[in-house]
Amino acid sequence: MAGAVVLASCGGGAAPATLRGLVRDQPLIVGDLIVAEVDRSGNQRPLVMRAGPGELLVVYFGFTACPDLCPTTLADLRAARRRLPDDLARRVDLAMVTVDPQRDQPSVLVGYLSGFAERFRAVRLTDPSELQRVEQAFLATSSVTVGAGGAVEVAHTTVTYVIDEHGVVVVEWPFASGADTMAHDLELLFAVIDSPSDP
Amino acid sequence: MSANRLVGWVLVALTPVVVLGVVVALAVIRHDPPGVLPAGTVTSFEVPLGTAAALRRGDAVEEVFPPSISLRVGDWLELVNLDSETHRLGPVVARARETVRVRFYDAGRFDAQCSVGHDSVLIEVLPP
Repeated sequence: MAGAVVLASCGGGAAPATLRGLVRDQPLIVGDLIVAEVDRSGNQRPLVMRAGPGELLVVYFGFTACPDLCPTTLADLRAARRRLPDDLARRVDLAMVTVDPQRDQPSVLVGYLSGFAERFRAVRLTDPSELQRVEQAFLATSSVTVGAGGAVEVAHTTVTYVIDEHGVVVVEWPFASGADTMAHDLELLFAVIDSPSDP
Repeated sequence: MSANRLVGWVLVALTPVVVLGVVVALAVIRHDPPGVLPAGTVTSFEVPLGTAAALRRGDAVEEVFPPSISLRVGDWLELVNLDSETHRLGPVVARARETVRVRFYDAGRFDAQCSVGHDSVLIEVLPP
C-alpha cells in the first residue's frame, strides 16, 4: 500500500511522515540477484542488487535511444540528488539496466549514464532470458521489436525502484513522480537509515 | 506640536504598515501550506480471478480497464488483483492477490501498458 508510515515525527502528536511512492505491504526482494555491470570498455563485474551499507540503490530499466521517458526519469533523479544535502546525495547509487542491449553497447550505455550521474552502474544483460529473470523480480517487462521498415520499437516498464542494503525494494516511483517526490522519499529513507536502532 | 497632534501623525504613518501586514497575513492564511495536497479520491479497478488463464485460452474477458482514466493531482489509482497471476495498469503492478495503490503528485498525461484488454490506457492527471 502506498504511503505506509515509515518515520514518526519528533515530538508527540505530530503527523507521521510517509513516503510518496508506492510501498508494498510485502515488498519486492531482489537482493539475491547478481547481474553484470559493465564499464566503457565492456569489462564486466558482478553487481549484487543491494545498496552499500547505509546507502540506497536506485534501479531503472530503460534504453539510451529512449526519446522521452528514460531521460525524463533520469533527469528527475539527477535533480532530486542535487536537492539533497551533499552527504546524502553521495549515498545514492544508480543502476540502469538496459532493455535494449543490442544497441546499448557498453560505451554507449556508460556514456549516456555519465550525463545523468557521477556515480552509476551500467547493467547490460545480453542473454534475453537473464534480462527477463531480472525483470520478473522487479515485476517489470520490456520488449524490443523491429518493424517492417527496420524501425526499432522498445516498450518497457517505467517504474524506478529504490533498494536498501538488504536488497529490499523500499519504494517504487511510477513514471512522472518528479524530482520533488524523489528527493522527499530519499531524504525520508535516509532519516530512517540514520535513526538510532531500537535497543 | 501638541501631544494629540503627534499621536495623530504617528497613527497616519503606521496605517499603511498595519494595512500591509493584514493583507500579507490574509494571503498566507488563504493558501495551503506548501506540500499539502487535497485528500484525493481513489479510482479502483479489480481484476477477477481467472482473468490471465482466460486470456491465455483466448476467451473473452470482461472489460477491466477503460481506454482512458482521468485523475487529479492528489488522487490515487488502485489495482485490486484477485487473480492468481500478476497484472499491471501502467505504473501500478499487483502480484497475485495483491492490492496496490499509487498516488499522483504531478499533473501530466501518459500511455500506460496494461495486462488486460487494451494494449495501453491513457492516464491523464489534471491539476488539483
